[in-house]
Amino acid sequence: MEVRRKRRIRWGVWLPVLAVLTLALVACLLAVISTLISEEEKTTSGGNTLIYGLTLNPSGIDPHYNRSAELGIPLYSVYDTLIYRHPQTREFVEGLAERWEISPDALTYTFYLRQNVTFHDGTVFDANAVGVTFDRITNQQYPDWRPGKALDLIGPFYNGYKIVDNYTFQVLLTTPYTPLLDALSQPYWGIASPTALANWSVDTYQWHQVGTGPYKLVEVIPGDRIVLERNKDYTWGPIFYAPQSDRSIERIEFRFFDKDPASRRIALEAGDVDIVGELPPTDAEALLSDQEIQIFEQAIPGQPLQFYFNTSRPLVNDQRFRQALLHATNRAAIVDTVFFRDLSPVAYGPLAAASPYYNPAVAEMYPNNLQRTRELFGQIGLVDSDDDGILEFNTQPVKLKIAIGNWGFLPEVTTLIQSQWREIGIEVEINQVAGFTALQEVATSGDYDLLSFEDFGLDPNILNPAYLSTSPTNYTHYVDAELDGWLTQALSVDETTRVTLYNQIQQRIMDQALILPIRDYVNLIGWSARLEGLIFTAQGWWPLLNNLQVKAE
Amino acid sequence: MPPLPHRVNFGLWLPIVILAGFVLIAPQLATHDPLTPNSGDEITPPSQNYWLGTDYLGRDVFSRLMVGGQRTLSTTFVATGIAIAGGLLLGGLLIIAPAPIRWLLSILLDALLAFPSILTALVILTALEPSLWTLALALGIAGIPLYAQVTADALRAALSQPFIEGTRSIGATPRYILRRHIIPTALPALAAFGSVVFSWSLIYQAALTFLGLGGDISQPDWGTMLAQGYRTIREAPLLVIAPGGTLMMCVLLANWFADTIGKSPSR
Repeated sequence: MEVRRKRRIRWGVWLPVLAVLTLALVACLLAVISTLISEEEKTTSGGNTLIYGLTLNPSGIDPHYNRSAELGIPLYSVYDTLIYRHPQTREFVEGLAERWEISPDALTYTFYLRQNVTFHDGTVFDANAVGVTFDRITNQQYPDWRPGKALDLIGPFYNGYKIVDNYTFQVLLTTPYTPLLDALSQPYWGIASPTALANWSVDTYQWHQVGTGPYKLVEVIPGDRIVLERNKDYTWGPIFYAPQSDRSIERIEFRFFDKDPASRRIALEAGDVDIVGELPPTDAEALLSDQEIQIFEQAIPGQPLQFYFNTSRPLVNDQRFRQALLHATNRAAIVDTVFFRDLSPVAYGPLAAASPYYNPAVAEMYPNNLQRTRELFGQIGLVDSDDDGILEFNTQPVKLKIAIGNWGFLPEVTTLIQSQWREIGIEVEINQVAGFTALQEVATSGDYDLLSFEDFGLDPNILNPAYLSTSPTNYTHYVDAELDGWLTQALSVDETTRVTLYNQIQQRIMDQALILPIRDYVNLIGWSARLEGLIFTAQGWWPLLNNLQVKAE
Repeated sequence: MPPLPHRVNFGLWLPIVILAGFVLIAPQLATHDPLTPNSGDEITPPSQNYWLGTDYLGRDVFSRLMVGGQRTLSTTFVATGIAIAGGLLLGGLLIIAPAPIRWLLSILLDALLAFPSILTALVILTALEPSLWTLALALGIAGIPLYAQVTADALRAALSQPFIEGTRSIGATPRYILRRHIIPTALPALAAFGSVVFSWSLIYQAALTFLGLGGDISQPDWGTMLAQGYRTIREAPLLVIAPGGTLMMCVLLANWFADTIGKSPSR
């Protein structure tokens, strides 16, 4: 009798396959459902709501502890600061303090606070609230305290505060510190609701921030969006805030356009975003003819796009060599090619021309002059003895290492420098790293002849960390006791003396040719033609969202 | 049972000849210095002087394509060589090594295979200083596990043929069996997969240089050219089409080779 064998299913083989298929199916279903839900939630711009594109995704958005300039774009309008800087005149004007006094010894700053101000959560604003924010930033005893940009800003001479009465607050210093008011006017020093700070931990507060500003923070989804809604009770804004009207913006959704600069123009044209900054110059140029889109050029005070010379390296330690390279660089040609000169000025010194205290004398110092370069090379003893087009120093061919990040057209700029310097017999190796942290690693390792780095700010004290010989971020490794003295002194003197000192400082930096400046930063912002009233703070990066309006029909 | 090849089939080897020939002669075809920006001639359309136009900095695209092709393809060849050599060695060991070592090796290979090879390459590149040769090394090492697996499978399949048993029973030496039977049986599969590794390495080479991991970014390279051209894709689409199209043709050539050699046992 024939036995019919039953075909056995081999579960050992098919079970994993089945499991994987089921999982894939579930994942697909979930993806479809979540897309459907988010489609419903997706805000469309139009009316009094708008979508604002951010060009960097900060690792954290706690203004007291994080450092990114980008966080100020939404948060400048969530908080008020004790004082403000006028966007046009750059003068200090009243904010949460309706007036202030500086003691004759410049060691006590007394702020007389505004009354009848409430935080978005209903908490009353008073001197105690200011004290809590100061503690959070400066007091190491504060639970889970960490040092942030705000702490750097208040400077090395901060000596605590004193609450005189409910509406009088004093900041105490050990030594006069002139940049103090500028520090307190930045969003890193936004006064936060003590109730909210008590309710949330140091790590979670960033998603539930409460200030007194013209917009409330209503939603934060890290890496996806930040949503603000208008604070209808807001009446205590600084003098340059326009009164709110029915054309003011009700709701602003910030989305990220950080990965790919080329996507910004496409998003603008498609109407997926109403305002987005840091447009590539070619795109900004192309958009100039678009009726639907306006281009806003905002000069950014601070350091220009520049390269630090590493003076601890052989040959680069020779001042004449650095000067020769400055003469050999045709900066105008670089800016023309990469940035279009109408949209961006050439840089000449350690401070951008848009910065206060800029010394225009530096503009004359290093004209493009190959004759001068060759003279200086001759003095140092650089010769091309083997006739290969590359100069030798002590019989070794000269090869410089330039370390750069992969953002902001640095690769293009550096490629042009490489090609210009090849003409005069200097070979360049470009070390391009991906990301800010990687560049900082190279900077710390010291393995570079030139390094691109810059910082922004209105007060010239941004030069201190870059050039003080004791500073860990002095990437030039240049040591000069006199320069150190000027930089330190400039922190504590009056405006007139500061002007003299910073003039000398800029002159010295360029005499020594410690940097190769290329281009002053100009932020190119594309914004929808249905809007009006876009202006930026004196520091350049932060918009006054309060003044934005939909155009009248 | 296929015999060893005694004559060269040109139709089959043509793709390899084209690719290798390109590496050798392309730089000689360059009409300009691929590194020199021609000031005033930025983003120009194709002309008699610039056959494929110029890029964002005014460099000749045709010359960059030629010189870049040499860089791109030679790294890919080196990477493929590393992957095949390493894969053959490991794959062979998987068959002939003593049992405990085989067991360890197969666990190691399974673990490596579960890891995306582009990630393996990225990890190796992050650890080493980025340059074209570390890139080739990283791609080569990343390709080893898969090639080892394929080698082991092909050898196992060849060994399980009944005629092997037969040959052994009439007293053939292992060396004879390997040379006369195992290698000819396994070769088509190994050669076909070798060219798959080549096209795979070529695409990942371009992807990694696109990300700026190929060392000096001013040197032309198809991936680098794609990354730089892509910014001006609307004004000058040729900056992307030229390197992208050439890349695609090379992958097609490699796949053509894989197809032909895989299909015809007689070669």
